[in-house]
Amino acid sequence: MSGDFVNLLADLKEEEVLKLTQQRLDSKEDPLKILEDARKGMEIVGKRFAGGEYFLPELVFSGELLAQVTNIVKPHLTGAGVQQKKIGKVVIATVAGDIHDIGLNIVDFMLDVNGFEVTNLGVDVPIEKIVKAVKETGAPVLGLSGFLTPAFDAMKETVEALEKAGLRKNLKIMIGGGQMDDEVRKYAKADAFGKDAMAAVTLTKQWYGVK
Amino acid sequence: MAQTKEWKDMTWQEKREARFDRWLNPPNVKFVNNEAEELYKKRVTRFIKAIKLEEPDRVPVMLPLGNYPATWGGSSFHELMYNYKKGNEIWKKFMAAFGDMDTFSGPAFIPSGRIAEAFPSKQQKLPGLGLPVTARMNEFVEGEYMKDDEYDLYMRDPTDYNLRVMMPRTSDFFAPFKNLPPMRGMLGSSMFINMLANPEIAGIVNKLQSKVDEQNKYMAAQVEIRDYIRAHGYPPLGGFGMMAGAPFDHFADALRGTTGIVRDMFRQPKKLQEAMEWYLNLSIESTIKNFPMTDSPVCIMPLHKGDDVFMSDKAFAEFYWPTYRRMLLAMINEGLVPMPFAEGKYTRRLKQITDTPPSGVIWWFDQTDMKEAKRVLGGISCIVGNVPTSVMITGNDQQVTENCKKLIQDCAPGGGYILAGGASCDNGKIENFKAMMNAAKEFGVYKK
Ligand code: B12
Repeated sequence: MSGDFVNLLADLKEEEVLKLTQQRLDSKEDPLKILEDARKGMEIVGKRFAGGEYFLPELVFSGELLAQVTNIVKPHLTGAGVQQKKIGKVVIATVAGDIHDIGLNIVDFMLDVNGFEVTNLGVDVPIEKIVKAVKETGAPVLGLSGFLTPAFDAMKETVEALEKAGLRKNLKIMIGGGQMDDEVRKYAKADAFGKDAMAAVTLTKQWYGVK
Repeated sequence: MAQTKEWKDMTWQEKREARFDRWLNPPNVKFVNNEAEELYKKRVTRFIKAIKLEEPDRVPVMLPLGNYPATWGGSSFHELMYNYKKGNEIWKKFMAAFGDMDTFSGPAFIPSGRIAEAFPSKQQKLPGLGLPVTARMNEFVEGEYMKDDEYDLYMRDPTDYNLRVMMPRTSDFFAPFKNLPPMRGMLGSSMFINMLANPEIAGIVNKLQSKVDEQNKYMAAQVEIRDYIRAHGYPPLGGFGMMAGAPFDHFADALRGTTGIVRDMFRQPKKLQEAMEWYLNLSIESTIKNFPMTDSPVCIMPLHKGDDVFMSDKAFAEFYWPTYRRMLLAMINEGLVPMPFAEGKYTRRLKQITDTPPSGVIWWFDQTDMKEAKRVLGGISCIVGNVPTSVMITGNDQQVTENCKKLIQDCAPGGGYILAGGASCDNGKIENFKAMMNAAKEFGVYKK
């Protein structure tokens, strides 16, 4: 049953997934086990995205399915769930003045299914808020997303502010999104440019020294 | 040129020639002198040859200027929302300072501040109106403005839907429109008078009326700069505003939003297909057929949610291309020249967009691999693009030159190429734009 569930979720079979979730709860299965399976299903979705089999619609829809499953399961949870062990922290944000979040959310998704604890600050994030989040989480990796040409400057200013706050030395910064490329990386003085969400994962793993 | 055949009996190429002729010989432009007129014709000819996949004298250029003149002239989007005259003055100065360009146009997408203020919409934010005054761009706010069960309602009567559902939903000002009677029944004066007897509706009409002078001023400024630019020999490329985009984007952008459309692709794909088909036919019947003669036959059509990241090849073949392709064919049939602006990456798409008549479509690419575009679309479509904005804005003139040179080497041979940016650059150094123009003259000359 559990194997079916994982695959049905990965194959985005909405009706079947929801039905099976209910069945498993009815047969008094541990709700945590269901959530654990949902996570496994999402991991497969992530792999298929990385492999060029899935695209944006599949990612977005898998997110919808996960939310529904979680909603059904949540009331049955007793006590705190066991946290899956994470590799480490990453802060991500779309820079000030820019509201594009589709790419940001994909990066969030891919980092998450690859074992990172992601703090997603959302869009149009003021510089101070990014600095604060880096300080508070102590995350050694920051991902900045931007799709507009004015984001070139917003990124540069964010990096400068982190320098001023004395946080730059122990921090790796990657940038990505629409009009970004290696030229902008140089301009903004970031450490790396990533062309897609898989690159965000590869870079982060590399900086964390994990395979 | 005298038309000998009736429009309906002409081939698409003949119709297009008639439209090209009108572009070359604009009846309503009074050139400031013969030189301006000659330059105008030379420039238009350059574009026409590129469109027809022939070799012009040199590679034509579309500079990625956007609202760059505003920054150059020390003004801002916000200021120009209110001071139309100043915008025009700056644009004129810029034009004189820059000199030779193959095409040029007035301030783009800067709406009237006073009008935007009076009729706030949830779908758009502007500098000073929801955005910091210093913002360099307007902002379209994506949302699920049309609900998932409203396709039928929309298709049954789009005018009615827009007036009584969409406008009240997207703007508090128009909220009372919810109480309007169905518009399809509006015949005869008394029904209109009854409608105005409702003080809320009357209030809306009065407020709209009070902005007519402002709107006239705004429009007059637009006409003034347009005529001035043309009179000085700079032709327009896109002839008339924006035409309908791809049917998929029609629903994915402003109506259902990204998550909404994704849900529909999975949960109600047939309904979405039906709606796109309906929209396509409506556009062809009500807009494209017998499209009037316009200043240029080129129609720029921004494309959003069909690129390499947004969907698989399979989804593109299923949801995006079939209805859009038929829209392109209908336009070509009217002698129009559709110019899709493929935002994002279209590298994987290239192989899927080859089935249109040779020279019928101009493809403008943002981040697509241009060498590959030339390889796949050479002999089929004129291609346009794509100096990166990063180089234009953060690089120096030498880097711009190198980039343009490479693009010209890859894309220009045999004709069918226009040098352009991938997206517009609202700031940066003027030398970089000059370097781009010069690159076409230095490396883009076709040997006769
Ligand atoms: C969808 C879209 C919108 C939607 C955004 C919806 C949303 N919730 O995000 C809406 C309609 C709201 C919108 C608004 C605007 N947009 Co817009 N938009 C786009 C569009 C079509 C797609 C962007 C997108 O989401 N792509 C999908 C993502 C997933 O693709 P991707 O970039 O390949 O993503 C991968 C990588 O970038 C990477 N990545 C992303 N972030 C990061 C971060 C890190 C650290 C790493 C390593 C990797 C990484 O991972 C992703 C997944 O693999 C682009 C054109 C384009 N295709 O790029 C224009 C585009 C970005 N928009 C543009 C413009 C101009 C605007 C507006 C100003 C227009 C307007 N008049 O409304 C406003 C700006 C508002 C603002 N202040 O931000 C221009 C920008 C041009 C410029 N000169 O700056 C573009 C480039 C279109 C164009 N070619 O002209 N837009």
